[in-house]
Amino acid sequence: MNSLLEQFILEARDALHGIAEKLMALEDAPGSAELMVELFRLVHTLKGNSGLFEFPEMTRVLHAGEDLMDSVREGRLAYSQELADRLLDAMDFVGMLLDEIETTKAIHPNHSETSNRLALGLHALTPVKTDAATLPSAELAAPMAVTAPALERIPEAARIAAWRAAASGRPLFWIVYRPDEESFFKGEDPFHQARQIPGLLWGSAVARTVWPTLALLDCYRCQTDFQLLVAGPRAELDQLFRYMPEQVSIQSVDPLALVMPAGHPNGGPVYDDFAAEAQTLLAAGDMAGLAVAAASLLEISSPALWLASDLRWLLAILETTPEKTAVLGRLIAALTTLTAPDWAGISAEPEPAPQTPAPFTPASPPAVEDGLRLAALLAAQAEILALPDSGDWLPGRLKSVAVTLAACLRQQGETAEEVEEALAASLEASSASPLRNWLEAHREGQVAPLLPAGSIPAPANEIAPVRLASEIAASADTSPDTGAAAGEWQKFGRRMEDAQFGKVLKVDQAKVDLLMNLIGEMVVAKNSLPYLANRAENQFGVRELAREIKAQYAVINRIAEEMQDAIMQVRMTPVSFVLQRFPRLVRDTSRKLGKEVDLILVGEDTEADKNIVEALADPLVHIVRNSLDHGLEMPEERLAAGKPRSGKLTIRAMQESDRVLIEISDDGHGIDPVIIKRKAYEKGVIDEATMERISDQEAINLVFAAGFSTAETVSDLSGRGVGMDVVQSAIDRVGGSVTLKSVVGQGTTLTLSLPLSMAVTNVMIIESDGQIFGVPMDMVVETVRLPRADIRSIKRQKTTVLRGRIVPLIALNDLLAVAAEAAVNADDEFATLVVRVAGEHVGLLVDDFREVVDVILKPLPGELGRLATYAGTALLGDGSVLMVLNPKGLF
Amino acid sequence: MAIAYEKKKAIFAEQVSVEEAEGLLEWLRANPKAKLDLAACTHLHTAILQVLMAAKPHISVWPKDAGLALWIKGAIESKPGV
Amino acid sequence: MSLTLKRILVVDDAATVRMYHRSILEGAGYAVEEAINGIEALEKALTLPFDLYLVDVNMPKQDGYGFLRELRRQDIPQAPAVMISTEAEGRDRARAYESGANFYLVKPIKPEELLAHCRLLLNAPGGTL
Repeated sequence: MNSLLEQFILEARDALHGIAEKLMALEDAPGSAELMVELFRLVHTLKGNSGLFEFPEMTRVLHAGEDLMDSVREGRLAYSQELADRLLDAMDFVGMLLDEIETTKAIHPNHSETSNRLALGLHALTPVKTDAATLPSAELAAPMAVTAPALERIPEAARIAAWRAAASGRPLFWIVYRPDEESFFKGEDPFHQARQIPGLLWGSAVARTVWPTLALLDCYRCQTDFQLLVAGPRAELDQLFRYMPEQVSIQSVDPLALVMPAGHPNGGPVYDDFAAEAQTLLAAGDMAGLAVAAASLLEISSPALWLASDLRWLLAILETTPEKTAVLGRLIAALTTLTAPDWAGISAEPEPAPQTPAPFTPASPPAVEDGLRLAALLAAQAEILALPDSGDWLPGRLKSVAVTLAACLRQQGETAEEVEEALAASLEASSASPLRNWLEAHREGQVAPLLPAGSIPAPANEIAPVRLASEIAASADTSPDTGAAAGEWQKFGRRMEDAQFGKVLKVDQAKVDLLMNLIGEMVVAKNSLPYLANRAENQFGVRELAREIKAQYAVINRIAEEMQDAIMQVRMTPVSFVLQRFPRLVRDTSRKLGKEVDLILVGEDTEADKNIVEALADPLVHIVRNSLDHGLEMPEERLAAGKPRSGKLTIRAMQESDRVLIEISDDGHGIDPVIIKRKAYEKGVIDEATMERISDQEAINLVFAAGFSTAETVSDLSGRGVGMDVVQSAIDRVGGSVTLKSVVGQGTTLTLSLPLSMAVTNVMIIESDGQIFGVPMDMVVETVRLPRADIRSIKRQKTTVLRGRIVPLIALNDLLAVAAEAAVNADDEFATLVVRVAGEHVGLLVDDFREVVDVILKPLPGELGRLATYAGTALLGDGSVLMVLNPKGLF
Repeated sequence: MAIAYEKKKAIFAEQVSVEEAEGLLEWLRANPKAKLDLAACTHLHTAILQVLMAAKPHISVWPKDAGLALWIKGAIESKPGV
Repeated sequence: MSLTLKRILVVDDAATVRMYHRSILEGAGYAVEEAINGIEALEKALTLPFDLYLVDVNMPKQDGYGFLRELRRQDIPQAPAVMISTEAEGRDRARAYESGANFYLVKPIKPEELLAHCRLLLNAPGGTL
């Protein structure tokens, strides 16, 4: 993807996020002018950016959004809920388009309808401006519009031929081809090139400047431009000039602009009669009759007459496009006025297919257009000089105008001395008048010929030329950019690579993942050193070497750990990444439920590993929805309970040593353990005895039990039969834990505790039935050697008493369905690994303990990943694979 | 030679290439009243066209190639910058 | 023709727009600097004045009008400034001119359009008075 597009997407996402944020903020402060200005600016910038690309569907919606926000900003429209909703909808759509652009680099045209609908929705809210600003935009853009190829120079026959070509569906183009001065030295023959253009209808060679005397003429420098009228596909022309795009300008031509009768302006009553008759025939649709009448009149007319020319056009159009009655009608009407028909309001179908300029279509440097641009620049300076002489920056303004005028003059091959004199006078008098007077005088001499050609055209060859004096001077002078223009687009790519855009480096996640994997392997490889040291000592008996290896291991270990830490830092992502969606979610959901909720986010910049943060997203959404749905009460209910109308939902993120804690609390009605117990019993989650026995906290924890849902009714939000058990298991998967506290009537607090990173896991290796397994260290409470005598059986359940508490004992072999008995050591002691599972301590009887190692835990692939028994696998230093148990999944 | 120079007349061959430009220019400077016979010509290089545009010589015979004749006529009659 | 590159300051808060202008202008051999708002732009102009300013209308902190007024107040060589406006803002061109702009172009600006105006406004030897 090109980097400009990448940049656009990046910035656009930021803008969308900002827009959503500002809209949320406006909910709380609907009158904040500051927020509205900010909001307008964001929409405005986003629209401006999208305009650089060919994404009309996106730009249309943003444009409508911009107009709407403009009205709000200017106080013509009050901020409303509906407005916010529609704007958010529109931004969602834009976000979707961005995704599409990112993947396919384009927008599918079938979004056009949605785009229109959203834009209309926004427009419907936008009040119509009533001030002078209702001027059509086309009129305002006029100074920049560049048209007016010298079509009147083209002989009538060629223009009629062009009309016929256009009528047969071939678009017309006006080409100005300005060959490089050095082109002859490159073996080019521009004249030949011009004559070879397919579809050439008419062409003219034009000197760029007045020719010097022959003695001074350098006949090997190309000083000739070619103006060409061509019919044919644009692509073919682009192809032809593909090696010299900077030397041509190609403009499409409206065929109607070619319909210019010309000749001697003599008339007579016979023509008035004809005009009346012809209009009748036209109205009756008798085209054949009209053609016959026109042809016979033409026969008796002198071909040099303007009227004859008009008739020839009439006949040509009758022949090619008789359906264009409006054109025919105006041509007939012109017979009585003897003035060229005004084509305003008539379209010349078939129009050439609209060109879709990609943002980086090679630029065709202006040739003809420069004259008009200069005229526009001069007009702008005149407008500036006509402003009242106010402001303490007036001198600076006058100077800038003078600089601009001087630049224009030099373009026209004139010196700027007079401007400097006028500027001096203006500065002296603190008034624009001297400059203005000078410019007026100057423009009278310069600009008049730029007016459109007179309405009574002279015979073709003697037509007063549309003078583009500036253009001549402009091109004679090789400006710095024309020279460079040829290489411009090749350079573009390189420059983008060279450019520095800030100090933040954007890196593909895959690259960081690769680093992560490599450091993982490094950690594993480093772990082989202690094995090697042991072998050196035990197998080969070189204790000295063993010691040295261990010393080296310590060094490598330290570096590896630091490296790992550094890479980890790269992957750290602020939790705001997932929290940012909540303002919107809470707003939409609470509105749907008819509740009022204030969301408070705290500690959004707390960081954790990207994977952890991403894993948080779904459980958090679920929890928040639960809170909104079941936790927080309706406004009336809250008022009745003596609480503020609006509920409070707080999401607080913080770091605690190597864990990140996310606390979601609400001040709703809390969870009633009595109801939970009853429901759990009704659903068969617990038996009657348990119901009697369990504590309130234990009862509350039952909401995590599979198949338990507290929903009174199945709402469309969270009550799809999916309960907190899903949250629990999602958090478990990334090595986290969930605790739930609730006080009836006061609210509920859920705390998620997650590792900062899940890349490296500290595991204890244990042995059972000749195999080794890993157990994550954060589950391990302690390891003890239990004498057989200390094991008691309660109801066939082996137990023991450890530190004053009864701990159930389970043989790992039993859990893994291995037939063997747990082995004992020489002192008849069982190796017992006490682990914490769901807040309870459980003793696992294993054969033996081994060392504790750092491993990179990889989830089991595919279907195996669903085995809850295992947390994953890890590669050990000696190359063997360690299965790492998930104690929670064992029971 | 693509251009045959006679005393007061230069006769163009079918194709006149860029190399002829300087010679033609010198000849036209020396013989400003000379006539040109372009009858046989079907194409001439831009450099030659430029010399014709700058010198505006008297062309006694226009090319039989009507297209080329129109081009040359238009070029000689055109005004700079238009 | 001066031997050093003509210097253009692009003042726009949108990075995409700055990048777009930079790529086009640098490709044509101009020296381009960027500023993200009027305040930064003025700082840069005071350090070393530019030969041309391309100024966005709507920017945070200080908008294009404010910047141009400040610029025109400075006792430094003044250079042409082109306001880069949207269609809607184009209606406010009197305000742009009053503030010290010499021309305005309406977004999105085609590369050839931008280059043509830069060429016309910068071709003058010396460039500044």
